[in-house]
Amino acid sequence: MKDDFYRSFEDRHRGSRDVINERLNVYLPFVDSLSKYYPNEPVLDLGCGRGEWLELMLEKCFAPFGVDLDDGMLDECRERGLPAHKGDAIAFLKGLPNESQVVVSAFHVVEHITFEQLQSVVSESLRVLKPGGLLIMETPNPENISVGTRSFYLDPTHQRPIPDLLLSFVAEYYGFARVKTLRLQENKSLKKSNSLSLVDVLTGVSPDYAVIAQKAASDDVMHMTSQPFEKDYGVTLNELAATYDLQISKKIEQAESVAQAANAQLYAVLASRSWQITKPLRWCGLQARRLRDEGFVSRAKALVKKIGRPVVKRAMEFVNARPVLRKNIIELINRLGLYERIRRRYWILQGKTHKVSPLVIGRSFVNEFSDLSPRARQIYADLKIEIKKYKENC
Amino acid sequence: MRIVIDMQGAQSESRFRGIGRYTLALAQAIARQAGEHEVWLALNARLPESIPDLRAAFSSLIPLDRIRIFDVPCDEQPSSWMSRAAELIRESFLDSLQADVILVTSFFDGFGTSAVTSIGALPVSHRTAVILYDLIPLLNPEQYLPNKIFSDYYYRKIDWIKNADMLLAISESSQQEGAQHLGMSPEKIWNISAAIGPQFRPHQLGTMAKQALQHRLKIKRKPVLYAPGGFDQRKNFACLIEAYSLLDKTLRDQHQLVIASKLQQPQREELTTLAKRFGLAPDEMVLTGYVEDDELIELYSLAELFVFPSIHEGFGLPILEAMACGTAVIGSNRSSLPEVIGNADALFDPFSPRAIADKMTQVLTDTTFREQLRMQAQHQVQKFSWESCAKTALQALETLSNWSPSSAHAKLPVPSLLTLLEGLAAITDGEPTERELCAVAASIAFNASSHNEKQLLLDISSIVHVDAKSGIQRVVRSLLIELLTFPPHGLVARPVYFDDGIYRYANHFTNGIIGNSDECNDAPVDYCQDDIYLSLDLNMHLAEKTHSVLEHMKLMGVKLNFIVYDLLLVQRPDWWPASNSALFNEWLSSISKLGDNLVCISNAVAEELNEWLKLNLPMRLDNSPIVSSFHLGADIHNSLPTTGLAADVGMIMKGLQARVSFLMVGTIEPRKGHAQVLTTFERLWSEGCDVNLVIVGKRGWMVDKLINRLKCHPEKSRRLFWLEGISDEFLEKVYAASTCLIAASEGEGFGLPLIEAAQHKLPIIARDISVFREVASEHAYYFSGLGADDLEMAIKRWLELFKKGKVPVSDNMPWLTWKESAQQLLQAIFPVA
Repeated sequence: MKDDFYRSFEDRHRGSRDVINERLNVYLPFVDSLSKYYPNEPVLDLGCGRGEWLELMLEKCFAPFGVDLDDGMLDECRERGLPAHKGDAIAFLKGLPNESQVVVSAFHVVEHITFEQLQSVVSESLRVLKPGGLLIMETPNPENISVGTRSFYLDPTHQRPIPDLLLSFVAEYYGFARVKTLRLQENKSLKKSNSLSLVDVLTGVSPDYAVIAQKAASDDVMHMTSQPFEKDYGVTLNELAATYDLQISKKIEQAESVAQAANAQLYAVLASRSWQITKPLRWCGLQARRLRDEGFVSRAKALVKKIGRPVVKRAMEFVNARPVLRKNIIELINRLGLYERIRRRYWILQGKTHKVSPLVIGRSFVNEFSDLSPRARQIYADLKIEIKKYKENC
Repeated sequence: MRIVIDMQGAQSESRFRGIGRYTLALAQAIARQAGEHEVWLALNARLPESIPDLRAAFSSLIPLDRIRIFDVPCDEQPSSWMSRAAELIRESFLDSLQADVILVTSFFDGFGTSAVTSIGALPVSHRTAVILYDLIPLLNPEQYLPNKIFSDYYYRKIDWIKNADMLLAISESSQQEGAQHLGMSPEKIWNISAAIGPQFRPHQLGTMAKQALQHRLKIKRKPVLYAPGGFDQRKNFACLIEAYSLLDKTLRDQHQLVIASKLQQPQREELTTLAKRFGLAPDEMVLTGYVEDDELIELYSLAELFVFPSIHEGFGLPILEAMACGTAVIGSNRSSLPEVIGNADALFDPFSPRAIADKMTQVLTDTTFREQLRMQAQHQVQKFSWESCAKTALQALETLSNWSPSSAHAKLPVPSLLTLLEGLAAITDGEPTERELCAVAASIAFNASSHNEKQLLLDISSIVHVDAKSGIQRVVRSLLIELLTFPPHGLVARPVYFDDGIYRYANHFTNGIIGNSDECNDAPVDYCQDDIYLSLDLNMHLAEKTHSVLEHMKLMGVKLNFIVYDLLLVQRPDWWPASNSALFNEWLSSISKLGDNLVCISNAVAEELNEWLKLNLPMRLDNSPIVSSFHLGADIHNSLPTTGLAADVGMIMKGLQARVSFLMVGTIEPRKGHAQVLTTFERLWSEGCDVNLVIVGKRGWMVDKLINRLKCHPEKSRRLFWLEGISDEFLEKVYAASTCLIAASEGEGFGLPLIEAAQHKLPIIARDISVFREVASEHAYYFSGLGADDLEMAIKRWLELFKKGKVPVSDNMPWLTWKESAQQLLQAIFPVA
């Protein structure tokens, strides 16, 4: 890539030098406690870029050294007299002696390298770190949906987004004693906001995160350096989504209580005397409108039905109360061949429709995953794993 | 020893036939004779119609929680993968019951139904014994296994049954069949025999009954009876009819051949053709079709002779039935029949019509011989009883599990589900579809009740949708919070609601009131046997839809409990808009059919409910609901009080403090008695009695007239105050400024305003209804009567007492916190705990 490209890109998208300096402050509590044990000892920054971290480490009385592949970036380091070297980070790491460094840092490096290279960075760092030493890896946070789906890919040299669980697992796996994930750079006001928008949920999660891994040391050292590890940093997607949901359901609740009050008022109107008095008026209006809309024939039919139905119902009651008569009528209807048709009508008038027995329905409604209960979902997932395992073994 | 009896034999189609009867009678006898053994039953959830009957049949024999229900995945036409999966799932479930032995009551039955059997599809820690009725299809494949699908099914079962650790044959002859054709060693097959019910005994028919029976079945002469219990080749109808045709003319003139069996039309025709061929006159053979038990018993008693020419039987129950009814019996000398008849003189060669005819002639002509047969039969039937079958079966099972009186039941660990999942993954018969995987997961989840924590499912269907924060909803909310915070021991409290045909977890709602939980989706509810359902809400508008869902939950062994707030909608439907009472009645009838416990909010309501149940006795096989009661909580501070004061609060307070103020609290609706109170006060005022009437409450329904009176009243804002929709904070002040509470309601479920008044140390005048007596007992002054005179008298008396300082005080009226209330509720549901 052209020499200057990356420097311009960084200026545009990672932020100016001052901004970056400020962002690095979050790491200082971790490093501070170590400077007491290891004053003036070496710290290494992989992909040191414009050297912001090197500068900060100098201020903290360490002996920093940077490695980067980009000449354009290194120029700025040289301009500021910061010790940096052009070269491959992993090769450089491999050349260092055991237990020689206090801190190895890699800001926005791991997303540029393959997974194998990442494994080497972590395992080699563990080797070169002094007891209690720190490996810091900062990278974009794909948990932020906007980062994970879009902005991550703005940088053409990015390989693939790395979820925090993977990165922290790698550090644990290679044997770091203490591993902490810090979510970073989020808008601080979001956490307390009472009016989250959907955009906030999609874009508001901490856009970067870092994994800080500490090499094992004596209990004493571990204890003295433990404090910053105990805090929580940043905003997760689950937190934002849950807060958002809660706000929405509160709004719905309010809307419902308003609707209920309105309903009660409506009821009061319907029951009021003036509404009752004007009833015939409204009825006439309605009939006129329906006559216009539906035509004379249809309204006449409706009239017959309206008058006829109670008569038929009364007749049915009369017949039903007299079993002998009922039997004779049914026989007559049968002979006329009208039984099925009239029986159906009868049930409709009686308000009885055939319902499927619940016993037939039973639990057979399980058709797809969304029909499953939580326990069944778990079992479904476990079963899939077993099936996959079985196939692989075959 | 723990014995689990797989009761599918009494569940599938066969439950109405021999196998079903055998299963039920044997299992009951085993349960009766179990002694120190534990008897458990396993029922298939997919054959649900039989579950209530079976629960009822065993309710006095074993604890109901030993009746365990398992689900198997099923389909209209299950794929082979699904069938294999169902076998594994059933075996895994049985294993989870930690039995010493499983007794399978019907192994081959259930083709085309959801019945499932297999043995050894999965490694399990119990032994399996199977009841062997017969192997007739195996011995006569061309006749009984003509169809490929069925023969595949049958041979697969034959392969499975060879894995059984023991067979319990129903006769010596089927014991030998098993040994010969299944290649199992004889000591693994026991003969446990069979028996019949006590209803089969000699029956003296009166002349009337005899004539009625003859008329009904169109019998004209003395019957020679054959009741074969089925229709197929081996029943040997042809030889019997031919033999009958060989009888002497005189005998045939005196008798009729009566065949009592369920017959399809073609079978009927086949028999008629046979009769014609052998020269029987149309009236010489009577085909009765299916006859019920009691009719069959009468028929046995009526018969001159019972002939049983069958070529092959597992046992031959009709013979034993006829013998027990005192009929002379002769029968074939094949398979199990000789051992059942137990008399060589009564046997014949079923393939020889001549031999059958000779034996029939002998019985019909030689009365001494006939008497001998009957005497011997009376002796023979004593050998067969369910008690002895069960005893032998228990001995066999003890042998099988190496049980001895000293060996205790060693509790095995609950087997892990992993074995089952691995087994399912290894099925090689085809590939499962997504749908099948889901169905399988659902069944396993249901069966895994022993792996799961028991749930207390709290139905809050109404409040989930609308929480108006008044009345019942306030109760639901308070109890819900208590039960979620302090769930009963061993239960997880899970709020649920009904939605579009199923119950879902109310995770969303719950998160809103007690903070975040892990789950935020309202997934369908998992329910398992032994879960407890408790309806906190009054969901009467849903009753029509929830009934079938709750009914299914009940079938699956979930205990159903409902809170009953009051029965006012039954007693006084006129107090509400018209549609409500129909909904309420539907709900009430639903819960009376389903509920295990109906817990009322006061003893008064409980008594009313008991009265209602007496008049509307629910049709159910199990016990009727247990009606109990608890009291509601009254620590209102725990239920989110509202705040805010009106601008004119100062004026109002001044007005209240100026005189003796009587207070009414509650929605203005017909039953609350506002009209009577207002009229009373109008009289008091006109007589110069200088007192205030303060009405606190929102406008309800059907009270237009009263509202107009209140609004346009000349005393309004002078001595009559109507405070509509005021906050709890305001109400506090009103209580403090009032002198006495009037509780004039004509009907209540509980009576919270009385308790509120007591908390403010306010004396109370209450209508003399039982629920107020229950809540306030001697801490209130009571009145009765609906007229203004009645109340006027009472208030005047009260005022006199008040002047002397002698009115009943409410300071010591007892009341509960919501915590105590929830405790009482739980005690009603779990009487022991």
